[in-house]
Amino acid sequence: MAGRAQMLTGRQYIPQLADDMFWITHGDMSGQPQLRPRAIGLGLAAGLLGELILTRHLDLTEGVVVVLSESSPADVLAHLTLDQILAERDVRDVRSWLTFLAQEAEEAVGQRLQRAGLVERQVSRWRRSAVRWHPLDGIAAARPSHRLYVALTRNEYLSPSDATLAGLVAAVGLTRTVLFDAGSNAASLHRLKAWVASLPLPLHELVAQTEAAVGDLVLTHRA
Amino acid sequence: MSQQHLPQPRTDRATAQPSRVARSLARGRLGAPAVLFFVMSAAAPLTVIAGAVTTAYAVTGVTGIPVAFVVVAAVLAVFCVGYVSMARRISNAGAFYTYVTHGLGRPAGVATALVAVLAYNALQIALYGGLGVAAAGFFQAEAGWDAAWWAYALGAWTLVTVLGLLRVDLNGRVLAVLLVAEIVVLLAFDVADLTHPAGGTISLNTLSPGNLAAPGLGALLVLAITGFVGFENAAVFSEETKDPRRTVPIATYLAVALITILYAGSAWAMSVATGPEHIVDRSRAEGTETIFTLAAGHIGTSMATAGRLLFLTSLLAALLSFHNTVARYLFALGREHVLPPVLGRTSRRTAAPAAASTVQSGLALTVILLYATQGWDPLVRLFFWGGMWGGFGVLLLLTTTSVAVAAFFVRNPDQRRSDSAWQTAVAPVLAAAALITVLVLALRNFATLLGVSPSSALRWQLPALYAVAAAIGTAWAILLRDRHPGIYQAIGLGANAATGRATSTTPPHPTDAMFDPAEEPR
Repeated sequence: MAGRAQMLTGRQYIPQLADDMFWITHGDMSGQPQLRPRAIGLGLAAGLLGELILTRHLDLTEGVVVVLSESSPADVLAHLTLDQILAERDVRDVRSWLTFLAQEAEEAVGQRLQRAGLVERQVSRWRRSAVRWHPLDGIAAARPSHRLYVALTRNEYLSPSDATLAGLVAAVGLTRTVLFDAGSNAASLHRLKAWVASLPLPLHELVAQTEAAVGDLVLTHRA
Repeated sequence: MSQQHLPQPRTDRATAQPSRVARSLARGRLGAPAVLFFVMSAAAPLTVIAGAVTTAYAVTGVTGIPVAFVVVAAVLAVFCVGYVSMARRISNAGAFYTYVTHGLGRPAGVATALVAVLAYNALQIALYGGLGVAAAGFFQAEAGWDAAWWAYALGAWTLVTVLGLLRVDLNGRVLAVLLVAEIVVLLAFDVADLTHPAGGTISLNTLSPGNLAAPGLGALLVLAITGFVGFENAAVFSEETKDPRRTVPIATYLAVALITILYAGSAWAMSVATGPEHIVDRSRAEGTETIFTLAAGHIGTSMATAGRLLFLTSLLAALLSFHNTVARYLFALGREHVLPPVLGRTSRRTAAPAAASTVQSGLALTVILLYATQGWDPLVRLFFWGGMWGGFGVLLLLTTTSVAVAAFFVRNPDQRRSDSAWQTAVAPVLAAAALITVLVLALRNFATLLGVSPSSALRWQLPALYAVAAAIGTAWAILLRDRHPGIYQAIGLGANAATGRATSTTPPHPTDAMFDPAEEPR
């Protein structure tokens, strides 16, 4: 599937942080949302900001988003996200950006995966607003959670992107869907915690801010 | 408790420029009507009037209840000035202990948090007694069923437990429709009562300030405060409203005003229909049926039956609302690691604070079973004592919070700039003085409040439980300061404990809540 998309765009599809987050929040191969829509939105919004931090377009300190580079990101969606941030220099606090990006994040990331030929967007016949993202490539869908599972249970290396992913998964409350069986014990959780603790400050802050935003959803009855 | 370590207050967001992002975010935010409905449905008018007020007439034997509502409304209106003014300046503004943490320090904050957990639990569990009795009476009369009160209480408990875990807040339309129906029925009852006064004359006796000189004033004031519980919830939405400078204050003041008119008016109308000298005897004879039998005589039994049914739904709504309040407190404290982090976890699919919700349900079940097996009176000993004891706890919370608000503005002169001296100094001090007075009166009249003899040990034992909770909270906070300074620093931040601050200069740390060992995979 990905092959056809490659031929059309001439670009190789490279999975991004938000894509990985998309698969895990949508139950890998099942395509079933694992969280309430707002929480999924926040997780994916954090993924989009994380991509820009990983490419050093953005910095994040003490809850404030700072643009480090205005150069165009290679990815179209990342480009679009950065454009939005550049257009609104007055809005600096990361919580506003998380909430704002969360509104459209599922649709945006889902469409990126659709362009790569990895999902199909299905609209319910009965409810127009009920969109389902049907995975077309089960291996691509299961890869991120499998990668985390293997690395955390066997004490292997996690890339900064995957360590951020692990942190965001924990922040939205999905640790147990990744570390789901007896093979992943307290030691795996301890490793997860250590990886997040070792994250560079902006990514560490992103994880903490996401956890706070998800917690506030519960406290304000907005989940 | 040195002040420089306190979390820095949030900057006022109302100054942000309107932009595309701001406009887009504003679309998802709440207006005053939505917040008002949420607050009012927690206040559950019929629960207070049909349940608490009639039982209060019966137990205390004092008739000045209507005027007590007016007095408490005045005190709360002054209290709200500082309360809503401070709400915009702090994160996690829905919880009293956040105010106290900012104003009086973290040990006082944790003490307040434990008192709040105790008080709201008491209010919630008490309602099971009221609901059990009311439902048993209703289904006995309508369907001839002969089940005990605790059977209905357990039924309601199951419903609340399931809805709590499914996170069906019952807010939105269902609750709004029920609330409007309750208010309509109450107003119809009031009109019927007032157009059929006893002896042909409308007596203003129970509204007269003269009642305030009667013995038992403290008891009346606690009852009235219990009726208002819920008004404080508007502040929960400080960061979720279209215009935090206006929406939360408008909703809060409107709620206080509406509750006053409705409660004082209805309590007075009942006394007019029976005649002020007979309201106590009538309430003693008929209990929570009083308001319905009064109305049935004037406007027909079908309206009264509708009222009885709405009384049950009102009790259910209040049960769910208080259940969620307790769960929210426990969840926030779990996120802060002040209580076990497992309480800060949510159910994946429903986003309900599952562990916190389960703890509350477990506690309620224990109490219901205890009352059922011991054969204790569910109406007086559970509904009324529990409710009044919980209401007294809320009075403690209000008093401490009013002092904390005054202290906060003294300690943070920079926070005073955008508001008037009335908002940041005069009103908070006035409210604190008034609430301390009410508190002293309540303590003196605690025996009247419970309807027990002045020599009963209960009058000291029940208030003392709050002192115990506060002492444990203070000790726990000091222990945290010495053993876990990271947790201590984040007290009062609620979900923002994850970042270690509201807005400050220290680097953030994701909390252990996400990794708590109890979350070990199966």
